[in-house]
Amino acid sequence: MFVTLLRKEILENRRTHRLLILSVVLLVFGMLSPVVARFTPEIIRMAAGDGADTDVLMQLIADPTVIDAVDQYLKNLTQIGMLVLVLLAMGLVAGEKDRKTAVLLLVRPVRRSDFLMAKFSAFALSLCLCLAASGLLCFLYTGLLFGEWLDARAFAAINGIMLLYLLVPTTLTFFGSTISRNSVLAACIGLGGWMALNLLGSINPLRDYMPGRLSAAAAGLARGMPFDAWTAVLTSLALIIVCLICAAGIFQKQEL
Amino acid sequence: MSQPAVRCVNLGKHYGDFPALTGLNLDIKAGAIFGFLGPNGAGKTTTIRLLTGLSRATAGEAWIHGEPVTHGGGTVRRHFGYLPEELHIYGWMKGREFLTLMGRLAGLNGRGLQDRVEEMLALTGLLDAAGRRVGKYSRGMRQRLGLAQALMTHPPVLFLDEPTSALDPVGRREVLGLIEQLRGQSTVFLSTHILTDVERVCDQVAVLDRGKLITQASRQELVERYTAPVFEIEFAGDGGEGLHELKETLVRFPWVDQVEVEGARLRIFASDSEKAKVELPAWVVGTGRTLLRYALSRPTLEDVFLRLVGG
Repeated sequence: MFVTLLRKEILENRRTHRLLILSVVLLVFGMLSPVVARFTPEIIRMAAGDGADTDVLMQLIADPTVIDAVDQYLKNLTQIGMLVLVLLAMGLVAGEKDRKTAVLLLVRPVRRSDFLMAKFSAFALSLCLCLAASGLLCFLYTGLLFGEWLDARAFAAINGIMLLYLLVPTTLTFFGSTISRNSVLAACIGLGGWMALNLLGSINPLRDYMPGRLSAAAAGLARGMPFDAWTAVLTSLALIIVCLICAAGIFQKQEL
Repeated sequence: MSQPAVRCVNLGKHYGDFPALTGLNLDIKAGAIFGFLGPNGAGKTTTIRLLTGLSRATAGEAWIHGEPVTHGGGTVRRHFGYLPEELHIYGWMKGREFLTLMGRLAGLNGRGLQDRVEEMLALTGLLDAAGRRVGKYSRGMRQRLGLAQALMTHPPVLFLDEPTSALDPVGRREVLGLIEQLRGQSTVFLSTHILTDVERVCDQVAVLDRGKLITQASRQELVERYTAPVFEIEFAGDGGEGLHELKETLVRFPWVDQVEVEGARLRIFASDSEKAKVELPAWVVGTGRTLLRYALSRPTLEDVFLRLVGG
């Protein structure tokens, strides 16, 4: 039953352009991040014009490196990427409940938890594929523009960490979408939960446990530093699992 | 005696203090086409939502083919098909894809599934539109697709919630024709407020009003039990005003229950039809008017319904 529902969700992601939007946004990040990092100093120079002040300014701006390209990529993913994911995930369940399309499926001998997990899995799979394509594009553009190739294994690890990082706000939004009938409320729950986690992450003893630590660890990997955010990995995985279990429990009791 | 297809014992649903359904007791024979009648807001949809497990009962129990109905789960869902009142089908899906999905979720697969999908598309006249997205379907086509998905697994019980209310006369006739074809094969639980639909296809009827069951009987029994015969009288050259004067004289007879003036016609509901048969012709003669028509008509289900729900 799960496989049937998963296939339906994948088809829905394709037909409703959810997959297209996600892939376009992430591919643009993968392509533009190295371009912006590479040409920003030159753009500033052209904008400033000629003169002594410009020379002083240019001395302050360091020559771009592949690290800048990765930083730019991570910044795009953690800011706009996260917002796009919340917007795409907010209607996953709430939309079906609001439009009453879930009713016809759930009067069949279908487990409600299968219905939820198929939705989440299809969306997570879409994110995984799009992020992989985006990472590949970023890797190639960085190599071509800077003439220096990133460490492929380290960059793959960075993308894996970012996948986990992005799944946390996605799951929080998915949970919101399950407990409410309203997509906007679902987005508010997702964003609110994510902001609360980041606020907790600003408290020193909790910093290493919060999912926000993952992006810093990914940036560290790009600089050749060892990965030191295993507690954040465990917390993030636990958060995702707890959110999904709670969502399934609540959904089972909901009247449709 | 065989077990009932649908059984409710003291079934109830309260939303806070509001009683949407109270103490519903029903026994529906297998193979019957059961009309569940009631005005809007009577609790018909609430009953179907409880029976299909979409909503949780606050009192009582229900069984379908002997299996208890549980909210949100249970194997009882293998025993019924369901067409909701507000039918929403994925607009991005094609008709054939949708039926295939619904068949798979009901446990069909392989060649059997494909054959059944084509059979249902043919039965509902959607073969030509099967490759188009449902979002492009007309309302009637969506309703027929909804009926097709409900019938996919030859369900022993079929819950149809207002299946014809959104359809034009042609669409209504088609859907009622499909329901008639199911007589004896499936038990059809037809919720509706359209009395002519019930008169046309149902053999069993229950009337619900303000969340309470008022009566359950065969259609014929109901008409016989609740309505006295109706005498219809029409005089020549009477536009209506004179009839109101005649009505005043008629209501003084002890055997007259109610008198209605419909255009140029008087409709007399008699509490004692035998007395009416004797005294009414004499009264007609006494009016000194020219009689155009005098008939003892069969009461309609609408008459019964309006009496029962106080319309």
